[in-house]
Amino acid sequence: MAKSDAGTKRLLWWTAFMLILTAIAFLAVGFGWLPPSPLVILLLALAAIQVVLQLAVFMHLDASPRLYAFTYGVGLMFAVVFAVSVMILSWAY
Amino acid sequence: MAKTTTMAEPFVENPELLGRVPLDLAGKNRIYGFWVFLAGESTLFASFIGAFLALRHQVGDGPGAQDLFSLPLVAVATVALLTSSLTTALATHALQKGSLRGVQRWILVTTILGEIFLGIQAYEFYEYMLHYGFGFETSAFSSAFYTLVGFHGLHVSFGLFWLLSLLFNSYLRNGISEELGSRIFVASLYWHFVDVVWVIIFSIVYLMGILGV
Repeated sequence: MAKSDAGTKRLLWWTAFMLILTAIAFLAVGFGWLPPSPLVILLLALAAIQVVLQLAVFMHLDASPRLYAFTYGVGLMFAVVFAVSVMILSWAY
Repeated sequence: MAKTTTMAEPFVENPELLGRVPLDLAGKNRIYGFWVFLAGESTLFASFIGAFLALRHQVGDGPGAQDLFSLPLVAVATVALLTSSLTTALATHALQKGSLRGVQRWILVTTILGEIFLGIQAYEFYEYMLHYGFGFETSAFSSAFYTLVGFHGLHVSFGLFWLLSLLFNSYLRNGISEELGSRIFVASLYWHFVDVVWVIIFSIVYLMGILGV
């Protein structure tokens, strides 16, 4: 029971952390905390952290068999290649 | 034959393992197969995101991102969806504890939050179309926007129907079999994935759009 409560607390903490990261992103844009270029880097960094947290904390990829992470990692590599390819194909000058 | 449980009788011998290590081969295969599916879905969404990034400045005579997007509206939608990730995880936790009522309660809260998100998105699309004349064919930007954000909305809708059907199933049986348990876990993976995609969408489409970069 105590272990389960610890698990619930852990989830609550991580969710609060993710909501804080989200709030930082929105506030940074809303109040123009930084010039556009560094702000974009900040937004992408915050998004990357949240994606990793979602995969690890909520989707248990860190505790799953390695095959799951490997398979999804291969998928993500394809995803990046597809995104860049489509960007190049769609580029309008 | 799959066992069925009620609140009094947890259906797994070692509940801490459920959700991390499925109990039988079918459950393992279901979860691994789902990760393969999610890898494919990631590729699909990445393609739409790539197209959006390439076309986001091609607004033609139509409105651009800075004319359209409302930060507070997107913030509320984001909080609803991120919170639903927590409630889905709590449903999985309740599953681990063998608490049928806990599973049902948290799935119900998740679906309510999902409906709030979809309601905001429907309102947003309605506003864009009615007040800004921002339709699917207005510009390359609008096509890329509706394809990406609309496709994500369709995923949320599908996730809602999925969770509701699992909820209905659990009420009907008044219990959760091992098979239904692993189905709930897979549905929770799907819901978290939809959240992951939204994190990327609100960062790249909305926040970067409002910045005008």
